Amino acid sequence: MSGKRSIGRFLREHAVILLFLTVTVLAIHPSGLSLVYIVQELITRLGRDSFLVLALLLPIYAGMGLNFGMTLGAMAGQIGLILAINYNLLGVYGLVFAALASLPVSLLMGYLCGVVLNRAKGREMVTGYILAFFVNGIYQFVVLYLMGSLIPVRSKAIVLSRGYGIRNTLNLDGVRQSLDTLLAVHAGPFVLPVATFLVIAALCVFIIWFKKTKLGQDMRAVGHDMHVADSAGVPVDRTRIIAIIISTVLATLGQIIFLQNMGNMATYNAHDQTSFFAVAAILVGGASVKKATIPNVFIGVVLLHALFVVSPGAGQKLFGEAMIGEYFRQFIGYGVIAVSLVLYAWRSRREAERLRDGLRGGPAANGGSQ
Amino acid sequence: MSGTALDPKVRRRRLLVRAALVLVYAGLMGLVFVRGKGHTILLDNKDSEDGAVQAIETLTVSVDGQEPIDLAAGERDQAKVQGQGHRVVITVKGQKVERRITVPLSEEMLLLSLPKLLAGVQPAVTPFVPPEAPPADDQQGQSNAFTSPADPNATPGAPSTPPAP
Repeated sequence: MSGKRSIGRFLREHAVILLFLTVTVLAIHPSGLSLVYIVQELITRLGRDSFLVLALLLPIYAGMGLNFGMTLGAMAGQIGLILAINYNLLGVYGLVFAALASLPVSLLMGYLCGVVLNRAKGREMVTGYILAFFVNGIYQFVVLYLMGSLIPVRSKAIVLSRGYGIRNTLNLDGVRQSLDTLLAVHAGPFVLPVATFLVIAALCVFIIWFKKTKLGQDMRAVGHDMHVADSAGVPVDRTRIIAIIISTVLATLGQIIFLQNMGNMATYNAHDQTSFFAVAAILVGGASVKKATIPNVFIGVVLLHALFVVSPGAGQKLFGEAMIGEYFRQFIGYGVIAVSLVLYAWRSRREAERLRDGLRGGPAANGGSQ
Repeated sequence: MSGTALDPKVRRRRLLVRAALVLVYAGLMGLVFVRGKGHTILLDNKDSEDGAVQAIETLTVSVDGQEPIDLAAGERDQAKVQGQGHRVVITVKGQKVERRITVPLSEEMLLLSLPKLLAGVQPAVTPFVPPEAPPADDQQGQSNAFTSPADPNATPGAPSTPPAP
């Protein structure tokens, strides 16, 4: 009986991962892709996306849910890259310059986002999502009208023919894969972007260390119960703002890493789905709105991208149309977020019911719950 | 944060630390800018304008260890480089000559005269300004009611818009 219950509990707790794993494994064969190709793609995408997904962890620790406001950081990163391309800065130096140039913008964005989210406690996710739309308008205004007119732009290659505004697509040839190839190691049929992995590993170490600091402990206390933390003397609002600032700065760096891997930048919409795919990845990895760990990030990135890699081929084979696979990506992304949020709400309600039963002297009070 | 007045010494020290951090930040940006700045060097194997230095019949040139480029007299090629100081290796009839050049930070494209560099004539590196297309005739198209002279995207010399049916 207990075994059945534990299996049921396992299935419930890992429903999203299992669902994803099943769909991915089933899609591998029809996709017609070799295992070597799929693994190489996953290695590349692990380097490309992990940093962005890791940026979501601290706000979850602070009880602010999934930080859809990370898009603000992504926009700051893009502004840094535009400046680096404008000054024709190449290689890793170009990336470092982009990071340094975007840092003040990112800090400001993070602070503003934190202040706004503090005024919308309990509705942080939807507020962050809408805030990203609002700031997107400001970003478009700056990049489309101010750059080249008020903000000097030297490079004619990136300015629209009318003399101001940045072109729709920027070629990032100067910094393309400069981090990935900085320390590329060939292991059998695979190429490992070791430098990128080292940067990601450094961030993981930082997160582990940060959780043990006073600020990290405060963050977890705030995430557990804001009122209790406040009573205990933890500056709740300040701690939440710091969590969002760090997340925004990490999103900035993550977007720079992401774009250097891609090699080009859609100036006006590269950031649109940054938070969307990062959130989908961490949820696929088994995280929830309240709880996330570093392994959730990596499991999520691998699973989500495994499906992204195989879905166009599988769509072509099964439905005779590769575009079905492309639509499938969008569907899966939104679907995962929806399923995860529904499961989270369902679990929360069950937990509340269990606690209520416990107070009434029901099975929970006798330790009868699972 | 606590609302209590800070000790002036602590405040001054804090201010100094913050100022130092800003300076380090600005210095780091400057360093990265200088080290990462990209330039295009046009490798030119032509006679000098005054005719004092003659082009070399054939040579091979490599900049900063990049792929060697073969150039005959009168030919020109380009190398993309990063930073200010560069090592140029020129091979003429099997004989290798190594020279160091410095490019100005503000110039994107420079012309390196290889014969001058070999002969030790200065300046071997000069800024290169790509020739611009002559401006379109402002009067052109004025009489055509269907072509806007103010249109910045209008292609010079493009066929005029056909009249409406």
